[in-house]
Amino acid sequence: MGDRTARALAAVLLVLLVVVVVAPLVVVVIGSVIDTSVLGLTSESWQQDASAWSWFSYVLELYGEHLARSAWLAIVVVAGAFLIGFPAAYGLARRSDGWSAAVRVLLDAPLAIPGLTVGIGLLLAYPWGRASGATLAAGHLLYALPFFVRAATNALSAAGLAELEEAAAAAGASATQRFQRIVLPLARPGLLAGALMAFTISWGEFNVSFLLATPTTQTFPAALYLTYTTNSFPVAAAATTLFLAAATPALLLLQQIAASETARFGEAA
Amino acid sequence: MSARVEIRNLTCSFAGRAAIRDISLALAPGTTTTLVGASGSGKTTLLRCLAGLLTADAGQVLFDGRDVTSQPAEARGVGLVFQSYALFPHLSVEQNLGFGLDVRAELAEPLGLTALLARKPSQISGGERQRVALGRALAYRPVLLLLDEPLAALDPNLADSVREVLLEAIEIERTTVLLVTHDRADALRMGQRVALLRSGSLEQTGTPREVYRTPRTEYAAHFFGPGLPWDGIATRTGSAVMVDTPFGAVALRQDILGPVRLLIRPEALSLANEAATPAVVRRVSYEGNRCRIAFETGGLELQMDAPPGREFARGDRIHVSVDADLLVVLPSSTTHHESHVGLEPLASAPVVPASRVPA
Repeated sequence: MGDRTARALAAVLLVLLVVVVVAPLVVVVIGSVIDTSVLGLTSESWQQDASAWSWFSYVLELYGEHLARSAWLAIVVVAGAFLIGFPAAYGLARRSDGWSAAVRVLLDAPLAIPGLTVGIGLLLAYPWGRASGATLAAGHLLYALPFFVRAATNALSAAGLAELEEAAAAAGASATQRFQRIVLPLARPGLLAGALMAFTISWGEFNVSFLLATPTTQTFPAALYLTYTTNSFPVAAAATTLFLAAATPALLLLQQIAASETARFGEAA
Repeated sequence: MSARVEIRNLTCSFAGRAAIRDISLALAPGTTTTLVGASGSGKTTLLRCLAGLLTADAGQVLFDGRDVTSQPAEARGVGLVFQSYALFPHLSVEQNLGFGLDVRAELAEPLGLTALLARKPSQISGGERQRVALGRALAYRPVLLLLDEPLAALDPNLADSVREVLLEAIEIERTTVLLVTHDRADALRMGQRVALLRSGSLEQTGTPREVYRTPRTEYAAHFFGPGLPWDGIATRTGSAVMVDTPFGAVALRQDILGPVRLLIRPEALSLANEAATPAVVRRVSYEGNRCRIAFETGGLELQMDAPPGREFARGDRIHVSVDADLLVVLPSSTTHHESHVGLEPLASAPVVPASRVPA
């Protein structure tokens, strides 16, 4: 295959990607700020006098609590992922034996199980935590933890943590100094990336939330589902735009971290 | 500052098995000892045990008489240069050098690192990384410097230059050094003393000349250089002790009688006039700075270095004599056949047709 053919093929694939992935999102975002009759949705005439941005205030009024609850839940999940995931990643980066392999499998297991199954399991195991939202947080954590641990483990393993810690010890650094000057700086990109992934996973999690949430612990994705089933298109579009507005910066930050860490460790000679 | 290091009956496990057993070794202050052995002989385990990175199962490690066996690595004051360098990737060269508790920026100049201080390890070459690793290990004046295969990851030309830097830095610092290598040539040229490890046990220690010229075991003899084992009978003829060899009877300096095993190394053999033993050239190996030929005489195959300026070809008829002073007398206790680890066949260098061997 010549260079020109390869470039043409790449361009076609890029266009397909834009059409398949980006176009639906663009339509929804546009739909949240323009007169929907432009999109041919003439049934949305009940608020024609309202400005295009009024859908957002309507969504915030109706689902503002859900938004705040989702944000709070995502923060709790990030904190939980950090507390459980960082020690796990440290241990996994330092050893490669049967135990560490078993822990990796165990951590990844929830990803292969349907959300509803996980939700029912959690409900049966921790029924007392449903009302407070603890069971819901545990469900989110189950899905966020594998990504957090993987990101942190990769960051530490790539640098050869065990030998670097030994080198630091031989250079006279105490356990605390080794943690502060070696482990933490090396883990930082993985921890940041893992935290952002945990945040976005929790932010967008629907299956477990839908099953485990009570009326007082319902999250924004569950509310989003309701907007599409019970509200008009502009309302649903505005709710989706708000959802994306929170998720997109996190995803952009992930890219930024990758770039800044490349600069921090220096380009290879 | 350098320490007298004593290792007493040290046993240390790695991956669940005793990688070194009952090792006893003394390192004089300010001297360099090379620790050499085949892969898996326990060299790195001993090094890590001395550094405090592995816990000893039994035995003691003493620095100037002080028992440090149970001290953690950070309390031992040992400098360690890893085979992989283990430089901190998120720190600059300057920060790597200053990682020790007592920063010595003046080390950058003799190590040729002044221009590289702001760079990250990923932005410098392999040789430069090695120098940074050495600088970091020396930065806080260790009482013992441990070097784990410091030249193994470098290409031969770079290894030559880094070796010089290393030897110079060691000489300036005057610290006690234990250098691990699998390269017998480095073991002989870089240390004032050499310790040979075999399957976790010390096979022999001594000066480079001692271990090469008077090996205590056949394994040690073969490890440090190629040669042909030859069993003979030493008899007294007048005041001399004579032994028959493929090159005729020779007088031994050693006062031994009866069965004796000799190792005939290449350097003991030389071309001679027609009165000497006839032989036929079997292979010629041109290695640039030397030309080694394998020849056959009396059904035996031996090696010798060809004199410069002469060209040889397979099938050439030559005459060879032996220098009795350069024969290695192996201990009678090891006259049985052991595995000839280190017996170097001519195949270690490319064999070229004799017609292409330059004069």
